[in-house]
Formats: sequence, C-alpha cells, structure tokens
Amino acid sequence: MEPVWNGMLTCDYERSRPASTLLEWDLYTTSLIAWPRVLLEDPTPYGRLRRPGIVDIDEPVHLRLVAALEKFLSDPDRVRDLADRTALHREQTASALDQAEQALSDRDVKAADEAIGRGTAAFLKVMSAHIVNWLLPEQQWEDLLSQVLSSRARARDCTLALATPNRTGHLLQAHRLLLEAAASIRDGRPLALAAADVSARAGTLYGAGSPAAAAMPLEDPDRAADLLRTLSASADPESELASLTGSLDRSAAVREAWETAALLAAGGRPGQLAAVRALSTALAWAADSEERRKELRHSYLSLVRRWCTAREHDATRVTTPDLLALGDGR
Amino acid sequence: MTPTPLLPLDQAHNAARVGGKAAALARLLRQGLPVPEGLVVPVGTPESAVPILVDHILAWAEGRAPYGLIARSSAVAEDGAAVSFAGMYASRFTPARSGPLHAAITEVRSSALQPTAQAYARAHGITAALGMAVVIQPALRPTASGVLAAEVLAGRCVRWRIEAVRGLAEPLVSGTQTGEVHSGLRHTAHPVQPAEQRIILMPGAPDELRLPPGEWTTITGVNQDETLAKIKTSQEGVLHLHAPTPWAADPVLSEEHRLTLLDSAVVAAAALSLERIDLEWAFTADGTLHLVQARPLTRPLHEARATGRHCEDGWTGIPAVAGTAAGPAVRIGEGTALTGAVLICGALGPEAAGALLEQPAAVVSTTGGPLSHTAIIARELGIPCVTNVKAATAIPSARLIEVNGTEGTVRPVAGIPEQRTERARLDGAAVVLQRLPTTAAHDGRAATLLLHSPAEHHPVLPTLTASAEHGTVGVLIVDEDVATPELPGFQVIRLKSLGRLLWPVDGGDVPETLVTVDPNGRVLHSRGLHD
Repeated sequence: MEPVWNGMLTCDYERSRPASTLLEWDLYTTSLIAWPRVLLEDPTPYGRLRRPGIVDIDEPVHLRLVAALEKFLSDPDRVRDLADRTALHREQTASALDQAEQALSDRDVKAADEAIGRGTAAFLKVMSAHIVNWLLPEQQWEDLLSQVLSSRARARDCTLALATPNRTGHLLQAHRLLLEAAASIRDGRPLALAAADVSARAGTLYGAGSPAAAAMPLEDPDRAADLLRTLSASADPESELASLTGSLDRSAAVREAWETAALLAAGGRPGQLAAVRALSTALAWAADSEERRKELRHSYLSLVRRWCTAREHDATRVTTPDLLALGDGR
Repeated sequence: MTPTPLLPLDQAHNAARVGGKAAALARLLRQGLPVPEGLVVPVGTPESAVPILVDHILAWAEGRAPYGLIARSSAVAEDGAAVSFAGMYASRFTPARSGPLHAAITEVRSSALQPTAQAYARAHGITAALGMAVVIQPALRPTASGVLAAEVLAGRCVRWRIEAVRGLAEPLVSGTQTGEVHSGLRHTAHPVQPAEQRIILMPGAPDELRLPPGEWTTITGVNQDETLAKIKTSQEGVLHLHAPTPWAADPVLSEEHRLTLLDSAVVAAAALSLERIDLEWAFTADGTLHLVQARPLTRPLHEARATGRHCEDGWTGIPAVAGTAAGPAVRIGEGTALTGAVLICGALGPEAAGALLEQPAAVVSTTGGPLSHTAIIARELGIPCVTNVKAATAIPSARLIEVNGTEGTVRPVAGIPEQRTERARLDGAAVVLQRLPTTAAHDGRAATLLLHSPAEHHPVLPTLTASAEHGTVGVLIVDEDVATPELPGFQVIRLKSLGRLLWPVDGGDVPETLVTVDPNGRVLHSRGLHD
C-alpha cells in the first residue's frame, strides 16, 4: 500500500507482483475491493479499480473500514464466525476445483466450465483474506497485550506465537507429503504412484513464480519421480518426518502456552479477556488464511491454465469476469 | 520593475548580509566552478517585502525552472570554520508559483528560530541573533547526488570519502538510505561499497506531480540511460520513485565521475582557502556537475560518520519469531551446513523446508511480514526469525550475526553468546494449562489447573485417573458468564478477582501462585491467586 496521496491510498499489485497474469491481478484487486463485504458483511467497496493491478481507495473509506475491522476483530464470537465462514469458502473452492479437475479429466467441457465458474466465485472470497498482510490491528493488539502482560517484549512474543496456523503451514505440509512419499517408496510403494500423488497434491507449490501461465516443475509426475527417487535413496525421511512432527507439536504447545498466559493475565477483567480471546482466534485465522490461500491459489491457477489449454484460450489474458460468466458465480 | 533587495548569487559577497552558504557559493562561482545560478533574499528583509520579492523571483525563474525552485537556508553563522549548522535549518522545494514560494521562503527564514538550531548555537557559544538569508535556485533534477568530504594537500585530495545516491541527496543526508561509498587515501582508492537505495527522490515537472502513485515516469540514469520508474508518491514538488529494478546492480558513480568530483574538491578548497572541505554536489542528465554547497569540514575525515545504516550498526526488520540466536550467516546453495547458522534468504518455497529442518540458529528474510510463509515455517520450527531486512543481501556469508526475533534486529557480533535456558522453579505454584499432557510433569509444581474454555474447544474436566497421575488437578474458570460445571468431589472456590476454582475437596490448601510455562519450562506469566 502506497502512502496517502491527495486523500487517496493506492494498492499497486502491478509493482508488487510484476510478473502476474491479468487473472492474478484480477484475483487480488477484485477480492481487495470486496473484502468489507466478504469479511465484515459491509457492502461498501474498498476502493475502485484504476486499471488491472491497481486499486485506489479514498482515505475516509479506508479509515472507516479499518476501524470497523478492528472493532469486528475484538469480538470473539464474530471472529469465530469469520473463521468458520472462511473455512466454508475454502471448502467450497476446493470442492469446485475437484469437480473441475474431474470434468477436465472426463473431457466434460460443460461441467468443467460450470465448476470453474463456481470455483472462481468461491476463491475470490478466500482471496479477500489477503488483507491480513497489512490491515490487521497488530499495533493495537500488541498494545493490549503489553498492558495485560505488563511487558512490551512479552506482548510481542505472545503475538508472534499466536500467529501460528492451526493446520500445518503449506511449506511444511508439502515437505511432509514429499517425505511420506519417499518413506512409502522405501516400504515398497511403486515410485510412479507415489510421484503421481505428490504431483497432484503439492506439485503446484514447488518452484519459483506461480502456475498461472506455465506449469510448475513438479506438476510433471516424471520430475516428481526424479526428486522422490533421490530423496528415498539418499535421505532418512523417517527421522526427518519425526523431527518435523516434533517441531510442529512444539510450536503448537508454545502457541497454547502463550494463549493461556494471556488469558490468565486478563482473567478478572471481562473486557480484556474477551479481547484476548478474539485476537488469539484472529491471529490463528490470519495465519491459516495465508497458508491455505496459497495452496488454493496455486491449485486454482494451475487448473485454469489447463482449462485454457483445453478450451484454446490464452491463459495470460483470461480474467475473473470471463470465468465467473462460465458458472453461476457472477 | 522596482528595485528590490534581492541579490544575484554571484554578487553575494557579504556573508553578514547573505549568510555563509550563499557567500561560499558566490566565491565558487567567481572561480568558475559549476554552481547553479540563484538569487538571495538577504538577512533582515522585512516580511512585508517578501510578496514583492516573490514576484521578482518568479519573473526571473521564467524559463529557468522546469522542476520548480528550491529555497535554501543561508544563515550568517552557517557553514563556518568551527560550526556547520548542518541539518539544522530548512530547505524547501517549491513549485514556481506565488503562494507556495512565499510559504517556502517564510518557512526557511523561520527555521532560524527552531529550538534545535538555537540550542546548537548556544552549545557552540553563539549568542547573537541567528540572521537568516534565503538562497533561491532552480531545482535540479539530478541523476546522482551526494556528499564529498576531503582533506586537500598540495593540490590533491589525500584523504576522501564520497557518498552518492541516485536523484536528490536528501535520503542520504537524512540517513534514511545508504549511499554508494567511494573512499581513498592518497593514491589508493578503497573498494566501493554499494548503495542501498529503494526510493529515488527527484523534483517533478508539474505534469508528473499530478500523476497518482502507481503511474510511471521516465527518468535518466548517470549514463544517460532512460528508464521508467514507478511513482510511490509525490509531495512538496518532489517525486518519490521506486528504484527501477534494472538499476539495482549498476554503480551510481563511475570512476570518471569520482575523478571529476575530486578535481572539483581541490579547486573549491583553494577558492575557499580550506584544507578540509565538505561539498554537496549533483550530476544532471547531461553529465554536468553542480556544486550546491561547500563548507569547511568541521571534524577530521577519519571521524566522519557515514550516513545511513551500515553493517556495524546492524539492521532492523519486522519481528517474526521470538527468540535470540547467533551464528555465521549462510545462504542456501552455498554448500555450507545450516545447523547452528543464520540463514539469509528471500521468500522461501517448499524446497527450503529440508534445509530448515537442519535447525539453523535463526532466519533473516529480506522480504515479508509476520504472516509471510517464511515467518510461519520458522515459527512452526521454533527458529527465531526477522523478516523484511532489505539490506540483508549485503551481509557477507560467514559473518557472525545475532538475530533478535522479538525486537526485529540483526547485528554483527564478535562471538556466539552462550545460550541460557531460564527454567524457573515451580515449587509451590499451580501451573495453568489448557489440557493435561499425556505424561505428567515432575517440575516441583504444587498443582495443575486446567483453564476452562467457554467455547468448549477443550473440554477440560479432570478425572480421578488424571489426578492420580498428575497430582492435584483443579479447574480454573475465568469467564464470569460461564456456568459452573458439576464435578463430584470438587468444591467451588470464588476467587477475589480471577473467577472461580474447582478444587478437589481433599486437595488441601490452594497454591497462592498461578503460572503458565512454555515447553522449556520458562515462566511466561505469574500472578497471585487473589491479585
């Protein structure tokens, strides 16, 4: 987000994501403009599109909506509801993508079109959570925890620990899949089967950039097989898996310990207690949102790219309105 | 036009009337040095005369100032042999329009009354009123600018240091960005330290200043190469541009530029009868050098502090994972073991997960925030981490650094400090948890209290079996609006300011201290039962 200029803020994905396709910019700008509706159920648009990749937001609108977000995120019941709704949007997206995948595989064009339309509509709602990267009231949370825990440093440690996702982050999750596949090969599973599984479940995540215009390396099962062959032969996937699991258990325990500390410290002051519960849920929601959004974004972009190939469209020119028009999503 | 007290800069001889800066520039002009032309509003000009002067200045600026004007302080005591007043007074860019120019002149004149300038004057024994003249010049649009400090002996610079940035020197002088550093002693030039510049400041033409952030404008580099730069913002006549990526690896100054600057320093020092000189300079797109300020260097060059943040000072970023750790800096792909080292990286992909499982001591990322994927994987693996340390790319591999993930700092260290584990004594305290661990802790605690969750994510009612394994176990209910669960064999104790406690009837005295601990046994919070 650029600083205020003439009473206006600018969100410039053209600069922050210069290699993006039109669809990628569209996903960001459309979901940005819609975040008040998706997250707060407030119909006010967050700004207007200047051109693909750039959104201008009037400062009064920004200030009002950010204040509304802060208030919203201080209510534990509303935050839990938000987390539930976000999870539902993710499930709807994943379900539509699975159906589109199946339809593409079956060469059922009509079903693929319809599922991609629905998937686009659902995924735009998932994408609205990307505002957690710069609109969360982190300073206010740290101030509150500083008061509760009587220490700025402990407040920061607590805030950071609370921003641990409930489900394993996508980087470790992808690596765990790889290690499990390598271990399964050592146990006799056929390499091709393990490679196909890794390719389908995590192939879009490996490599630089995004799968919007070109496939990521491990989308190719043969490349995944090469990697698994090396990994199963040279590494000790079982002990690495054990180490990974131990680390994840430990980070969850650290998170829970800090949450308990903050709740114990706030105990006896109902307002602070509610605010601590709310921010604890909100931080986990934000971390989960980021991790799950990345997995879904890559799956979605890969699927749309392959759909474009099947339908003889240019994957670098397709837009969200094009895709929403395919289904009931518009 | 009526006569005005305005003086052309080349006629600004009398320092008592035009201030130290203008007088020095006038002397350079008379020696044929490349100083931009200008006008001086002399010391003591009454405020009532300023509107007329503004009209004269605007008439003079017609056709001279495509990027507006700059109004610069020239105090009588400024740029002296003993005191420089560097950074004490204001300079203002302004469009060549009446209202803004008037405001800029007024602001520069009133900067003489700034408390910091007055305190500086008093500290240096200057008690007289600080007379302030104002130099008005066309704003330059430099390809590069900066500062030069040199000791001059027998017609050559024997010790020198040049700091350069693209565009205006303001970010360099204010220390917000690090310039490219050229330095040398006699015939030896030291290796050039690259700049760390993400934003380029340049005076804008009126059309450019009307463009909103995100639009592009054309800028020229030191090698007269044109490129597009994105506007971050613009204010007070100055464009703030994102530095074009293709320029990131290019030097700001060539050797030829450096030699030109050193030659000019020698001539300027002679013109001002100085042995140690401090110059501010700028190159414009046509390759012309402009000297914009010259003054005595008021401290020896070897003490001259570099502007901007340098390695010795450390770096700051965004706190991402709490904890402090130190180790040698390493990067993935260097073939160096990561265990116990500090990993310097950009945004991480899943390819890096294996490396992170080697247990580096800490992670420093050049990008991202506390919710970035790099921060999250480091958090999940319990590795202290600081993100968004843009300058981390300049940290040499193998350099020992300490990372403080709570403060968001990275700093060089001479050795690796011993790690201390603060395992506190829990004797007599009750440890508050959200769920009972599978194995009982033997850490001297008097009891375990399960924190009741109103959302019932953790149904935490203890059982007799649990109590047998874990010692005395109670339930702490801190929420007022939660009904007290029925639990046979437990009594309800109302706490003064903490809610209710379900405590075994045969549990004996309730511990007076409640604590929470992390998996290392470190106490995160402690409070009295009745606090």
